[in-house]
Amino acid sequence: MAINSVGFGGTLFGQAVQNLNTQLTTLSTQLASGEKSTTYSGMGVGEGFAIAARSQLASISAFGDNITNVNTTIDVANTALQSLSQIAGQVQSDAASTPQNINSTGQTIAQQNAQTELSSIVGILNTQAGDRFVFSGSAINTPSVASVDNIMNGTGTQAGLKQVIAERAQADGTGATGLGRLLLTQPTPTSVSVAEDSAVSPFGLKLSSVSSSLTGVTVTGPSGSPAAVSIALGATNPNPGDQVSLTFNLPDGTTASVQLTASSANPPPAGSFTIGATPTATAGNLNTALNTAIGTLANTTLVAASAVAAGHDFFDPAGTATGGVVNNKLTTPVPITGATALSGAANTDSLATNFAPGDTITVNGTPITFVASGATGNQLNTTDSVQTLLSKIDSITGTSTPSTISGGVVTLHTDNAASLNITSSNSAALAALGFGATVTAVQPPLRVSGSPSTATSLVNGSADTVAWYTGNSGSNPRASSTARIDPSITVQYGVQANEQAIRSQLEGVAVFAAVTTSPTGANSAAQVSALSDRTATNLTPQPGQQTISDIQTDFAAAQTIMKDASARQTQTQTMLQNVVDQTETVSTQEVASQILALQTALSASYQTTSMLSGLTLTKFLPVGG
Amino acid sequence: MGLSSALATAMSGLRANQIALSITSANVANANTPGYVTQNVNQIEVASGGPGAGVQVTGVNRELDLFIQSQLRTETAGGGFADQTSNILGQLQSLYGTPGGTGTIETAYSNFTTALQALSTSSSGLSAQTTALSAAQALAQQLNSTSQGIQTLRTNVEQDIGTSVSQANTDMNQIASINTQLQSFAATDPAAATLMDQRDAAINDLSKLMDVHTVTDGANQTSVFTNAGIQLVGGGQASQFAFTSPGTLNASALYNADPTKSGVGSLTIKLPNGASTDVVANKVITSGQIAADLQLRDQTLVQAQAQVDQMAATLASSLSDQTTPGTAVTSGSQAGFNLNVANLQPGNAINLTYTDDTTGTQQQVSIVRVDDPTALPLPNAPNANPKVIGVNFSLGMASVVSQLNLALGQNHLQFSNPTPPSSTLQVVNDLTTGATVNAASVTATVSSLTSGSQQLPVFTDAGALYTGAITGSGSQMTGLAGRITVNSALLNNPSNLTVYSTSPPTAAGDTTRSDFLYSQLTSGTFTYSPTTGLGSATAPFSGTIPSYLQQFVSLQASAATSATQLQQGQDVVVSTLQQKFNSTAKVSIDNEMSNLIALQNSYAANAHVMSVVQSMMTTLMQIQL
Repeated sequence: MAINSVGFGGTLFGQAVQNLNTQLTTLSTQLASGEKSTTYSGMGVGEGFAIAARSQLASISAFGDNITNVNTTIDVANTALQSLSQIAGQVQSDAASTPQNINSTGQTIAQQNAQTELSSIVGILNTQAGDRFVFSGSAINTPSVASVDNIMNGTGTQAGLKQVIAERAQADGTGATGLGRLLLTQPTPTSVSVAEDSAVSPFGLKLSSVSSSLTGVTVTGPSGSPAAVSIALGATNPNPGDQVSLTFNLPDGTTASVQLTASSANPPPAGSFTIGATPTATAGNLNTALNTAIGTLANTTLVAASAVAAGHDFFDPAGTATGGVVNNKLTTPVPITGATALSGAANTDSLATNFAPGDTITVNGTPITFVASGATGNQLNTTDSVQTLLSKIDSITGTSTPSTISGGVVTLHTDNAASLNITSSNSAALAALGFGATVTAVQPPLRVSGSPSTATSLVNGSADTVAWYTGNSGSNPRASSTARIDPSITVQYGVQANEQAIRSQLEGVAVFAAVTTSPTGANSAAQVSALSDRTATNLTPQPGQQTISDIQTDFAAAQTIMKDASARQTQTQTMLQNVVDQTETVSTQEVASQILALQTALSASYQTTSMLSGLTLTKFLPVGG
Repeated sequence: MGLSSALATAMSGLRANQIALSITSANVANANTPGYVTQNVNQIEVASGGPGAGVQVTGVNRELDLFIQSQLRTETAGGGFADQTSNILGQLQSLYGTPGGTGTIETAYSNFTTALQALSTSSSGLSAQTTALSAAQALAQQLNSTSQGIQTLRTNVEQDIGTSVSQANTDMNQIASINTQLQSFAATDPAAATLMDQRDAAINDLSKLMDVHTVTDGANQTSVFTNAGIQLVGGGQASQFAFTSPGTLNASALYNADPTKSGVGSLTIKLPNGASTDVVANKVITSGQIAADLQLRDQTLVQAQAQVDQMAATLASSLSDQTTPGTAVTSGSQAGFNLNVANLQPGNAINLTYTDDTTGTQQQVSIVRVDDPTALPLPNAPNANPKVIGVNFSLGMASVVSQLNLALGQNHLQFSNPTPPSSTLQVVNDLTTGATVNAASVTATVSSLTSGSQQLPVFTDAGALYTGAITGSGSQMTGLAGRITVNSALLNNPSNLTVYSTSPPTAAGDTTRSDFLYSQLTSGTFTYSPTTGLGSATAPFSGTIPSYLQQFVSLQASAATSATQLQQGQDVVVSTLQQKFNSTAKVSIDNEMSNLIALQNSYAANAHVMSVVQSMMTTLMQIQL
């Protein structure tokens, strides 16, 4: 027979006492740990909620970490942007100060300061927050800009800013003999002609307007392709004090003019020409004076303007697509203008090939559709002008520089050369605008094509030019870094050094620091003065263009969103923690009082047990009866 | 001879008193012996041929209530069942760990999602990637150890069956041998009482292991049956259980009614006549510890394993499965979709939704690639939605088309391969237009880390890709929790947590992939197999992984709680019955003591009779005639 343990355990009473004992152990464990149980089943019916609540708590804590990280990054970026503003302001005020004395290095004090400030800017743009390069867009492992030395002087195989400026200076025809790529001729003995050397070339001085108060003189132009201005003297000589004025567009978008006054003095004072004995002699004198005046302009203001334009070529991710010269449909065709209609009958000012209703032009994937009339949205009437088409294209590309048409040449501007792509269902009509089947922009950095002095175009120089921006370019810089800070909210906090606001600061300072003039040159002071003016202007944010504070505003908005989310999460966290606590933790007082009650019950039970065990007949029988 | 007969009668009184005393002393001595039933003497008066009668002890009576005894045995079996279930489920609870503490699936899962979330702000940081991967490894290991724990419990239960079975065999043999011995005793023989106590103890012991009921015949032979009617002991003959165990169980070792396919130990009972019966298949045992063991081994713990397997499978698939919608096609009155099935791997599925135009009900069909013909056709519960159809893709597209048309043709769906040999599968409504194809998509497992898509196999099935393949030997999901590991290719290259493409290269700050992983794990909704105990075949449980985790942990917790409550309730029932049984059967010391006094007095009285007889005899002898 199996021997079971001798005992008390089988009785109800014994079991009750054991139960009390077990409860006491459980309660003292609860008191010590503060938790109801060590298993899921011991937590009671609410445990399902507690599990869900805990998983949400973990997720909130993860979001909290994200918010901290993003805030850190934004704070670092904000500090950097603030310093950037201050540095640019410093350079700007240096450039605006007078006098600008050139020292033996060929630069002014302000320019030398700008070199130092440029190093600071590069340092700031390569700021890291944790392991993240803040200004590199989504390429957070890569420094955002190249070193100052590489930017300015280039590497062994790639040209730096200084070389780009030098080449562009040559291409723009600066210097005493350059004449800004203009051709000065005398087609007849009594006339002087000033002509551009190429209709499509972006280089040098471009004729803007001509005006004259010279008696008996006929001025025409600018007209033709390449554009030319003609100053034809009549049968009589001009009177002393009469003036002729030529206005030029400079490569950087500024204008400059040359004004010559007829004078009876011989030799004439500066800015004048001598009235000769005959109109023929006067025309010769005018030609000489113009030559001198344009030569001076080309060697002073144009040098500065060329350097600024070179800075654009080097830094600006914007690009242009330039078409060929095209003529309209007139019996005597002339180059198209902004007013030229997109379609029309023979012998009207309209494109050589008409756009027809139903044709489309697809700009960066967005189609513009032609309709006969009543165009809305991305539609054009076939009777609209070329200028209307250009505005429509600009609104799609979102360019900050409007596209232009000049001398029958359409120039499409875009802020992001890489993205520009225009095609049309009517390629013949597109060709009538001067373009091939697919219109793309020349990719920056732009370099002078071929021999600088005779070059007529800019080409993609990315192979042999230093890429100053080494981060990642996205169309929306803010979206290059996003973080989820709530189950349904993401914030964008990316920033790229090639954004307009940052890039223009860097560009202005770098160009100012890069230009060196001859300490002894006669025109040096004028060159530096023109450059200082432009630097001071360019470092001022232009209306309609992005500024540093725009970026900071975006950051502030992100921080506000995070602050709100964080406050909400704190509330949720408290609530969820309550759910967990109510389910899983015990109240010390409650447990203590339960223990007390159990203790009483247990001691009463023990007392009873002891009394009962005394109540047996055995005790009351006399020994040895 | 009055005096001598009085002497003889007094003698018989003394003898009877001595026997009664020895019974009383035996009662007192065995007061605390479990299973001992109080005995009292049977005495009768014996005629002595003259006036007065002697006393004779004819045997002993066992004082017990047979009805309560049989009731007690039934409840003991229930108690054995409840004890074992509650014990094992309690151990299972400890496998799930302390809620909110380390070492729970829940915490490992939260840690993993939190680490993934951190990638969103420091995507390229190696430390963040490594942290995420270690969290993934911790999660995989937690699943491994949970799975291992469940299988250890199953193995323990299996061993317990072996132990219990040999215990039952011992008991049955003992009952049979006691039956044999009792054949030679009268029922009231004191020796028989002891043997009957032993037999009752053996039956009680047996009743803890299984449900029994007993029949005792006139010859004091007790036969034991299970409630299902199988004879365990018949008189002197005992049946024998036979248990053969494979030793250690794993997740794929499952019970099958076909002994050749069964992976667990087989339990049979061999009757005295030599016939052998499968205990599990015939449900011979319905209660007691063995029944509990069988249920735990084949159902409860298998379901617990299925729950963690499902967790592991969803974890793997949610991050690696890519769903591609079909391309809409229309041909006349037939409309539907083209699907590219080139990347479909065994276990991957085509998801199809169509509306039966007659009934207007929408039905979902999941066409699963099953390349093992022995696994086909796949079982479907009645009215299952989605309905699962297995198709062998290894025989080429023509075979796939014919298999599908065979399976779904009657549902007015028509499948074709429009451009052989491509892997395009077309599904349209057939020409009778009895159905409308609403949607079709292909879900395929991505195997490459840099496929260009967000999905990647973070987790693998012991190094192999997890696709959920179904073969003749079962689903790949079975036991996955024990085998799941983090993809070693990913461990060698943690950056692939964010880098999803090599051409074009993923930018360092690109958080597309980590965001996808996070959102899949926290908010992605999936459907879970009804084998997990959640949902049903017609309406399967569907929800996020955290909600699934919460559901199944709660399910287990409440199962453990209710098992404990059942066990406590059953214990009270058993104790109460035991108490009741004891009130008649157990030795009462007070009774025995008062008996003792009575016996003492009676003995003294008998002795006094003898001394009186003797003095009378002496008086008689001393008469001097």
